[in-house]
Amino acid sequence: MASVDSAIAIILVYGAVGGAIYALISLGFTLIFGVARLLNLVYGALYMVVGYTIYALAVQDGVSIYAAAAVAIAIAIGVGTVSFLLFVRRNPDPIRFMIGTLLIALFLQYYFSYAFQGEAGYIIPGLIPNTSILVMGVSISQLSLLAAGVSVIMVVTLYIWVERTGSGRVLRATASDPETAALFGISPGRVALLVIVLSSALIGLAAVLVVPTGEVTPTMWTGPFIIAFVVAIVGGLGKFLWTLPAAFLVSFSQVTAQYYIPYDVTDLVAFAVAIVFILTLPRGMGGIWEAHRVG
Amino acid sequence: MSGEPRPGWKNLLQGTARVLRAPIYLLALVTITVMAVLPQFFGTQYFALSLVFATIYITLALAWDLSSGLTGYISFGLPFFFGLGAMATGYSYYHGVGGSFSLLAIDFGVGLLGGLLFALPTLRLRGPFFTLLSLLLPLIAASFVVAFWQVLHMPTIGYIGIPFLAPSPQAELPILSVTTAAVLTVSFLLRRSHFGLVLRAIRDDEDAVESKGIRTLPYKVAVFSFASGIAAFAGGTYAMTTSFGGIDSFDFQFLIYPMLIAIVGAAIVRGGLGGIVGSVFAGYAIILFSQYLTLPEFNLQELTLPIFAFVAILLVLFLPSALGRPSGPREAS
Amino acid sequence: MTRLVVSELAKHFGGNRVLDRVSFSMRHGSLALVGPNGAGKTTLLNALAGVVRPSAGRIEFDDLDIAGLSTWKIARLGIVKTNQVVRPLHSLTVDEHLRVFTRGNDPVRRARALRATNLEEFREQTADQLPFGALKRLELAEAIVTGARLLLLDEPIGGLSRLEAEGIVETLRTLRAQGQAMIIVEHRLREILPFVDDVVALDRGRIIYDGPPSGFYADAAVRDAYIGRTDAGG
Repeated sequence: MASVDSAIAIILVYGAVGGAIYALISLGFTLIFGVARLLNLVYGALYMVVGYTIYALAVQDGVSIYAAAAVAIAIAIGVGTVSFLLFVRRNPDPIRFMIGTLLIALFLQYYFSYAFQGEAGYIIPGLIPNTSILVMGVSISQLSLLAAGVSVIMVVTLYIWVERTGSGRVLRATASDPETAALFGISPGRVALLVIVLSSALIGLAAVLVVPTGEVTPTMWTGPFIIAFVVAIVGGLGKFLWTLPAAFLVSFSQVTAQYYIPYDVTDLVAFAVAIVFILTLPRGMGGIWEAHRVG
Repeated sequence: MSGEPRPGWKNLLQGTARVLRAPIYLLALVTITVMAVLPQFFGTQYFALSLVFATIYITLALAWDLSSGLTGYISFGLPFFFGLGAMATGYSYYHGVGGSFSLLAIDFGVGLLGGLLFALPTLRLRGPFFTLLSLLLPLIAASFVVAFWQVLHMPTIGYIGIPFLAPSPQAELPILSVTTAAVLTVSFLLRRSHFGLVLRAIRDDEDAVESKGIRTLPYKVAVFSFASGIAAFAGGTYAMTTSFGGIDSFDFQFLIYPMLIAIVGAAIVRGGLGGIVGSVFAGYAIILFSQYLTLPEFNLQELTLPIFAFVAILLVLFLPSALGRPSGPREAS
Repeated sequence: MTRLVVSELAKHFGGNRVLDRVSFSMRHGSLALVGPNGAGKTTLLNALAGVVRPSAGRIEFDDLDIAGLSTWKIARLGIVKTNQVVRPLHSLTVDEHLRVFTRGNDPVRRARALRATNLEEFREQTADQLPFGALKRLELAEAIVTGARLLLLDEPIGGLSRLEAEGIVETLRTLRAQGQAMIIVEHRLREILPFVDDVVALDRGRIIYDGPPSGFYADAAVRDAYIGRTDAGG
């Protein structure tokens, strides 16, 4: 059994890196809900699309990983945008949208299972070699560190964009009141399109960075989906500025529980955190903040 | 409910009899009967087995249509309760419970209780929370089984060797046809009752219903728990058909097919989701067709699920009437 | 006889005082709640019905403080509100609407409400096929069949033609004669004031008049609120 010090080091390092990665995985999901008020269940499947595309190109066909990653992200954007437009343009009913996008995710799962021979897991290369280094005496994969670093950069960039630039303000205005925004000549449809492209690119990027640390399987979409959903609940649905703190909370809860429980309980912990928040703070961490600001 | 005059058994029976004289319901009963009798004289073992699966999926579709279709609170948790039933069968059997019917009764109880525990906190909230959390259920359950299969005394990630409900599919089919008909009858009566009327009202405008003195939570929780019990029961029968209950029982095919059946069924009876009866006709057609496609000569076993998922997507896209929510004017603020 | 006593009721939205310590009581069986736009009438009605939660104050209904209770509890206690913007259950027929809400599932009560609101001809039609006037009457019929002891009517004749409005006023008059208590929010004073017992007028969240309809038009504060301050500058 490790000493208390090393326990703290392990929880700190894995929790922090995991939190940053979770933020990257969740950002796009929260963004879509914030702007379009729609729960895009294809979201997790895009992660899988990237995994299989890179496998097909880089491993099976020998294309360079950079080219493969670029193509994979482009395909993810394409799939994400088309499925969004299919359901939003025809019928903007949120129930139909949820059922439809879930069916697309499941279709992709079954399709990949068929096209890539069943449940076998494949390994794909990362942008940098998957070797481990020591941080505070804890061994951690360089790929994970890269993912965490990119995540922090993306979160900060997005924050500055939304808070400080004109186009970001358009986004915020649409998120808080689409009808009024429309009166000022902003097309909510176009903003939604921008957001769906952006969010598909974000989850695609997350996949390029994170999937090489794991396996490509037909059910891999559920992992990022659970994370994105739980982080969205904890931060407050649609309050994407709260993604980072929420992601850290989820990650630290998981890592702490995992450290003490000898079974793989990460999904269960995530679910428990979501339930606790829904019961006590259905508007999430962002909700408490707003209550104070207004009151 | 407050101050309700007792309707009297006679009135209740007469009312029930009147509802059950509906031609579409009788046609569904006839269909179930014919499908139960047919393989006793014609076809192969495989045909009988396909019909057994059809009754299981129809039961699931009925449960989904009754709770999600009627109330508008869409649940993706169906595979969870189905798998829960399959697992409960295995667990009970491994712990000395004998007799198919006690096993199935346990399954129903476990599903009912599970549904209640899930619905009580989550159905208090409006908006998409319920639907999303329900989707997490089967996802979490699968990883739960993977993590704890040894704790649950499973020989592998599931219970194997669960006893068969009947020695052959031909013998099993009449039993499941009777239970399917029973679920159909109860669902149909519920839909036509005051209870069902309140559920439809909730789908249209829940706030308006509450503002006139009806607390909606008990209605939603009751129907969802009941449907969960039915789903778990169906999972138990599936486990006793395949002799296995485990991680595969949480697969999303146990959501896709029932949803597809309910959606096509809704299109058949032209009432939108929550129409109940249509699922019987759609169920036999869809499951028999799907089983037909998996025959070795087509070499489509692996493609059947993607095909049906794709068909479901097209239906959701191009069959606006089936998903209910008639496009009346909605001026709610 | 229903007793309703509202004391020091307040509601803030953000820093905005929509109701500013409002106190009044129902002395007789009917009361019109009037005032210019933005006076807080609908907010007051919503607070009585539990649709909005008051920031402070008491609402006593038969000596029970109901302020802040949820809508269904208040409705069960006997206070039911109709909506200004009609909210029908669009896939249900008129008859089904009433079956959902009829207290004790009593067919006699239902038939009476149908007749009283002149909806018999629409019985089997779904709400999305009904003309606007019938939807307004349906809203009223739903409230009636609940067996509410106090009806809160939010602009029951708003948006209706003179003829249609007369029909509803006639219904209300009949209900009144049968002893039904009601509070009516309405802009169309000419149609409503003649048959209510009392008038409470609000302006910017405060009560400016509380008395019989006969003294209403002559009251200086009321004239100020409606017509503007005639003594301005002089």
